[in-house]
Amino acid sequence: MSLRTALFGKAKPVKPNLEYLLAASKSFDVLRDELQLVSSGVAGICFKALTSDSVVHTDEEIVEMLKIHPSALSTDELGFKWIVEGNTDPEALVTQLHKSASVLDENGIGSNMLCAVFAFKPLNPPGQGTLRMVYLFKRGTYYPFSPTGEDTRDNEFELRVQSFLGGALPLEQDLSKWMPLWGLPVN
Amino acid sequence: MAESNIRPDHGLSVRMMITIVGLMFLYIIIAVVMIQLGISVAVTTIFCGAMLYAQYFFSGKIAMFSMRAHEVTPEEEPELHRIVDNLCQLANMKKPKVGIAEMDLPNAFATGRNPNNAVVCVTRGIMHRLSTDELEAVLAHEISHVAHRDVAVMTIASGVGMLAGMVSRMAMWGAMLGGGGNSNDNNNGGNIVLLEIATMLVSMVVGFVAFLLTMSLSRYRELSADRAGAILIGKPQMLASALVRITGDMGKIPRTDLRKAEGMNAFFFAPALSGGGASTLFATHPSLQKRLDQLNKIERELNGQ
Repeated sequence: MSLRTALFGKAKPVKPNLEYLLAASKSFDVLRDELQLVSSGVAGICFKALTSDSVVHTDEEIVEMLKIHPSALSTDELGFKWIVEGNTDPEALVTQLHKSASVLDENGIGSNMLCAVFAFKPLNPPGQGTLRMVYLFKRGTYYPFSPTGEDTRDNEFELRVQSFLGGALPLEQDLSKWMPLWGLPVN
Repeated sequence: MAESNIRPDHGLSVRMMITIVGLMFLYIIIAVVMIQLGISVAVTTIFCGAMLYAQYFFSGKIAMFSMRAHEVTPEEEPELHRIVDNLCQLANMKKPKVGIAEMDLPNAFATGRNPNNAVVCVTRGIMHRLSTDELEAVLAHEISHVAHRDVAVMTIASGVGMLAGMVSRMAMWGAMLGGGGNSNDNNNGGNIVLLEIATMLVSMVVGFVAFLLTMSLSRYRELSADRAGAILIGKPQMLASALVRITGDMGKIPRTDLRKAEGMNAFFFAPALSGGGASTLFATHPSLQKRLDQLNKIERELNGQ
């Protein structure tokens, strides 16, 4: 942050970092071998519909530009849009999500993109732990989120995930940025 | 509290005595400095007395206010009251008031000048993060602070620091303004400025010594309360587990939704300047490792090894 920004509070919208989104696939082997977790076949992108400096896109326009089924686009109670995509092949799912993120970015929604989320489930149900890997577009980092209820999360499990994934992914080092996404539609 | 079951800690008592004597000495230095500055003896005595009195009697309210805490009734927080009731019965002591601070930062504190006016307070964040057993262990630690009556000493200690800070600031302004105004009157003006600079230095040193005394006592009393609390409920490992959750990495993981934080511009724009955060709150505490080592030792002792 420059001195000018600090003094006058003028901050430019940050460009989303799509570079490491494809790296998500590197976590699959580690998560399966070490924690017996596999992709649930679902992943999503969370973004905000409105901004001051770009066009407001209607839901129809977004569905059109991404060439997705209308049911893949939803709005949560906090007013954020979610694109939820499914694919049984985890590698293809990552590529698919990266493509959608790129299209959103090209259409001027880039600076409104909050995060991408990949959902994991136990290899042998019921198994231990639920896991979402959250990718922060603005910081280009991942962090684990393991919800256990409406507003509770398993911090111990999240730290275990961190200890295994350190070598595979750019993880968010500042733990105070590991913010939960309660009731997210990516399961 | 001779009748309470919480073991008196002689090491702590001795340290508290030494700290009180040291602090009283520092108070006297401050008073002498003020008199040297030309403030009358009566004003100085009243000022220092009022300071101590206010610190002593309103410390609880000040602490509660600064933590944005409020007292809760058994109807509002039955679980919390049940735990405190049980602990007080175990410890055979009067039940303190129970408070909650509405903040996500995991923390707990005890305040109040004596066991009759004590308040034990937990933050909403600590209640969300800990299991009932762990919360009980943390409350046992806080109740030990109350039984050890060490809150009063800490209060007086912070009072000296504040007073020293005020005197040094008064002297600094005096030196700056006086120096400018009286520059033609070389003889007198120069002396007053020198005296005021000396005052500033003395009060800064006093403040620093008070700070060191307070910090060292603070770390000792934390270990002492860990020990007493762990022995009271006989489960040192519960307190160890709670400490890891709130002072280690886990305490840093937030519970505020990412989408709500975005409302504070945290993610859509360049990150704002960030301060030290939670870690500064724990600066008065011994290191996590030291506390865990002690709890492990108590665990072995309780198992008769």
